Amino acid sequence: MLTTAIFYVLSFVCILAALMTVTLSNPVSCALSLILCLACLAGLYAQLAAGYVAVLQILIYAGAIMVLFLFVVMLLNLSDEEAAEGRYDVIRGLKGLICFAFLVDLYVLVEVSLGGRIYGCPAPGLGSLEAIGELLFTRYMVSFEVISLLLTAAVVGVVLITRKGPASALAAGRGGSS
Amino acid sequence: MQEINGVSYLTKQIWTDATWLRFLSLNELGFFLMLIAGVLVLTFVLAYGTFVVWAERKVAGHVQDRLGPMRVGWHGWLQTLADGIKLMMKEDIYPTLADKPLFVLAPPIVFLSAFVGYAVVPFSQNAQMADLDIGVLYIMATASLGVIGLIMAGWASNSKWPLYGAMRSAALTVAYGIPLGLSIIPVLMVAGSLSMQDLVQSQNGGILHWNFFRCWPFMPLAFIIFFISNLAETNRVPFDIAEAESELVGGYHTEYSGVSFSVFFLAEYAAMYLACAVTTTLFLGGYLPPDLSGIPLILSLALLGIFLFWRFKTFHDRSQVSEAIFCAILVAAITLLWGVWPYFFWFLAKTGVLLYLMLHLRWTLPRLRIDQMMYMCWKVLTPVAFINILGTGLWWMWITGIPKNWWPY
Amino acid sequence: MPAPLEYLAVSCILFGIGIAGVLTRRNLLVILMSIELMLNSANLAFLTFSRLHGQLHGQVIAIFVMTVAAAEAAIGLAIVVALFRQTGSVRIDEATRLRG
Repeated sequence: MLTTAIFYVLSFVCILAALMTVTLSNPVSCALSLILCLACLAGLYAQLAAGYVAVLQILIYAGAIMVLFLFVVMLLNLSDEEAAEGRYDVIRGLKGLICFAFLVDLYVLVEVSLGGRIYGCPAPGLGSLEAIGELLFTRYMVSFEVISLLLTAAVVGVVLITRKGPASALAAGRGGSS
Repeated sequence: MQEINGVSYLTKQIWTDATWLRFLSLNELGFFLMLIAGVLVLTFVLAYGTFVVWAERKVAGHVQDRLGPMRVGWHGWLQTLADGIKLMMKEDIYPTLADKPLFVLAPPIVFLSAFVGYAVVPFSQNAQMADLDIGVLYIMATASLGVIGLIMAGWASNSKWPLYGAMRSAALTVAYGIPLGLSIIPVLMVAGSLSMQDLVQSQNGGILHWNFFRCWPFMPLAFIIFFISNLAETNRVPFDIAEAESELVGGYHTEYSGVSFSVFFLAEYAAMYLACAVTTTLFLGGYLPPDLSGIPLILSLALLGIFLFWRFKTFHDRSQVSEAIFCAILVAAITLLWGVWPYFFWFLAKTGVLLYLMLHLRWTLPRLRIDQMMYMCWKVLTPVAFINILGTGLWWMWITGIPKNWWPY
Repeated sequence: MPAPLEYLAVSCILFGIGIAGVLTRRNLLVILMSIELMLNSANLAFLTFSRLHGQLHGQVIAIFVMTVAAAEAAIGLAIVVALFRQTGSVRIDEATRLRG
């Protein structure tokens, strides 16, 4: 009962924050409401027996990625750039409506195919760190290595993209690659 | 162990669905007990924060050859309380152009991010609110949320100094999170768990089994990296560019006054104490007493003698002699009482030593520039932390032998 | 315990909001945030199915998705900064030149 209540509260706040992310004009408010949305999502993850993923969500998204976003917003000093240009026109509203129609369609499909299935008994140790680690380093070993390669490539790419010229390459890359 | 779909799962389950439910859908009594525990921890944090503010001012005073607060109570130990009452009586001022909701929300978020981490701190064997499977990660995650509060404060103030402070804090926190995370990996490798209780119990068996004294020089190096990164994460000197008062007026809390300012203040000390608690748990044996029986008695006595001799040689006046005698009596008392005194005392003592180190550093080190900090983080601490992991792994293999199933295929 | 469908509904709604954000906003930063939102909704679906089938593979994939999202955010923000240096704006309809 309490779980259901928590689920509804979390998902309500989550969806509300997501809507705010998309509709607010100030990028800082957008980023802050996205942080709220991600934190609520972490709660939903924990409900799904994925405590490790939930904590990683807070650590990586809220603690690192969104801080980076906020940093860039403040660095570029963008305040209300979009407020001046008439944000609500018909075509964009139409685009949003089409998205929602598509999504409702998708959800109906899922509902039809999934029916009223409920959760089976969770495997013991589902979501425990040992089990995830074992899976990560046996079956998903190659993917794991490829991901680490991807991250290295991203760091190098960020340094290359943000540098101003050959002389100030290091100075420019440092902020972005974090 | 049991096999499911070709993957063997350990039977130990903490974060499974059922236990997570137990954590949240407690019955009335359990909920009530949890509430009481939370209030107790909150009281502890508030009381300790008040004490540390006073201690900081005393340390500052003595470092600068002053007395520090002396008026309220014995040697001014009630000074913080008086200051707190003063701040509460003061008016909360909101700047006209401030983003008011964010401005009001920022201090509670900063405090909450420091306070939530206390849920998994093992004050003693049983004094822990929740022994999570992923305790250390949980603390790191919640502590990393504090910077969002700082950014909110800096942004909402609508003033240039707080904004600079917030940006500096963001850059610093994101950067130093990396050596912070890497430096705990050696400890986790040795303990084989992320649960705080398991980490403490893996150091059971005397002072030589504490992680700090194992695996020289790798573990002490990890300790140093962890400590430095924690200083940066909590915005302490020499990493306090976020609130550098000589450059940025007051940093992110320039525009704050009254109660919200004191909440910021308290949050800083709560975060500091949390950092000390984690450091103690990871490296200094947590709440375990320093059982010296692993060390020959004669060696420890000789060390004590050499230390005292050296202290006496450098004494200038009688007050220092009495101070040294007091210290010696204290050491003797601690040595005598280590089996009698409860775990909680040892936890307090160890965190107190680390906290004193932080206070002392604040009043003795100059502030670093931002580029020096970034240099230190990316080019010194991070590579050293990686080498540390490798070294500890090799050491651990040497101790325990190469595991039979080291190649998983 | 709520049914899996309810979690999937939340996931769907978040994905829709994300798509709507990508299509309707012009601020490049907000578009990047919407993409993060979509990735997260996919994560929620992965975890729901992981829970539904009692297997861990969904959680492992979710961790991979997060890592890719981190890389993507870093690259995306670098591009935003570079674009801002070139054009003085982060509006996506002003980024019309291929070469700077």
